Amino acid sequence: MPPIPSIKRCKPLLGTYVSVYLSAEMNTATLIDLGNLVFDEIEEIEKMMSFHNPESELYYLNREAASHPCELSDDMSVVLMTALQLSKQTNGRYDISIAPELVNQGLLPGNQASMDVSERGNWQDITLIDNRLYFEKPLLLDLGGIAKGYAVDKAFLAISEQVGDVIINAGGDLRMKQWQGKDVEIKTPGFGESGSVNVTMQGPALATTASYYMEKNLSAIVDPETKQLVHDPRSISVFAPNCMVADALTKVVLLAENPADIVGSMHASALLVEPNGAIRNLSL
Amino acid sequence: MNFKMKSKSFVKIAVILGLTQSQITPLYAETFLTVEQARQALWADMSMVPSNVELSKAQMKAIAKASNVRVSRSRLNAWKTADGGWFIVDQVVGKHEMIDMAVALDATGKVKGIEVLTYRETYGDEVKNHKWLAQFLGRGNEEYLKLDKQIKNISGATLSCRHITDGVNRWTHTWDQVLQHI
Repeated sequence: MPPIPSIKRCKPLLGTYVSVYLSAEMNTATLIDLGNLVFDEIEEIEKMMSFHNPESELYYLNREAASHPCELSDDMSVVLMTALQLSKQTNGRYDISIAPELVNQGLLPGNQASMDVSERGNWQDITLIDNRLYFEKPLLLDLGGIAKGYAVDKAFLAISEQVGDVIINAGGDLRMKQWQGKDVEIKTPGFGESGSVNVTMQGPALATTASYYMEKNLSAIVDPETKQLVHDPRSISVFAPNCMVADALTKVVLLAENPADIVGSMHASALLVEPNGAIRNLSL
Repeated sequence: MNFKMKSKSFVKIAVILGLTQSQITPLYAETFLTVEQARQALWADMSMVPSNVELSKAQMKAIAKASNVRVSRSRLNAWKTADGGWFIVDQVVGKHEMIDMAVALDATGKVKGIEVLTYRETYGDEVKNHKWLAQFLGRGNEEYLKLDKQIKNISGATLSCRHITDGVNRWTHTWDQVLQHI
């Protein structure tokens, strides 16, 4: 039997490299068309949830939602509801309103963030009812730790039914259709010859967070209580039913006081990889 | 001890002379579309003719000045499409290695689409570490192939794709300086 046709594509998107593997009984042209669909979906979510693009829905919300309730798209609604649920479960240790700290660190552009930290609110000042969003106090939301995963999910679901297998990898946030028994590598710079450790997928989606690519003294993760940047030499990998949850939970594991409970409640599992390559299961 | 010192200084000299190029084994290499598939992905059935461009020294200088990106090659693998656009196969410098790219420019010089054809990266900062580098001396391309096969999917902290921006600047200015006049 001839092998099932497949293609693998890669484009720069979401500030990283997004690769797509597709396999199905189709000709190359059709596979390429399906690939286009994947990239289009990702691009659409990227445009919608970009912090710095003045035409994005998020930019609009950051500008307007403190003055009047704003109607949300369905996509934005799903992402914000998930984020708020995690804020609640972690007592605010996971909080998408930490953008000003990232701006101060130079990790987000500061064009609309000249906000006095003392007077701004947090996740508890976010009201979301019936697809309408309102900020009780001035806020800046940053979806950097969740939107990438959602973009992968949206693209995945757009074509998953039509193909035998699909793997989307957005710079380490990945989702697979045929994930059972598949091995993946988790980057562990400086460890061994390959700079990675090998693990078996524990669910359809995987995301990894670490600060090892950041310049010294920088981190994209802010502790909402201390407002300090979190430096942890370990990398955190989360397997989950979807990529949005995996993406968000990587930060929850770093920040929450009871990460194992929360990870379990979301039907997810987490691994901590030490710089020496040792792998620890969070639940154990 | 003596041997150690020797090999260390050899690495140093080799790095300075650029001799280690074939010996610094890329630990991560992944191939995606072929050139023909990329043409189909970016231009579908649009007809095009090969129009390989040989940039003059002056043109290279002008492009580098306008784009603020080094132009290291005079030859550009390019095809001109029936509607005045371009299909270009070229390389950009990644963090340490070359990344093979295909790019489509429309008839007004705007980027219509980009495909990564082959992605190679050595593992970041370890390259600067001579001891780490030394382990690859004397290894050939077969190791590269083996690793290419081994690696399936990688999860890790996001690797920035900002290098592509340099490529895009260079291509759009190449159009501006040269291609639009062809």
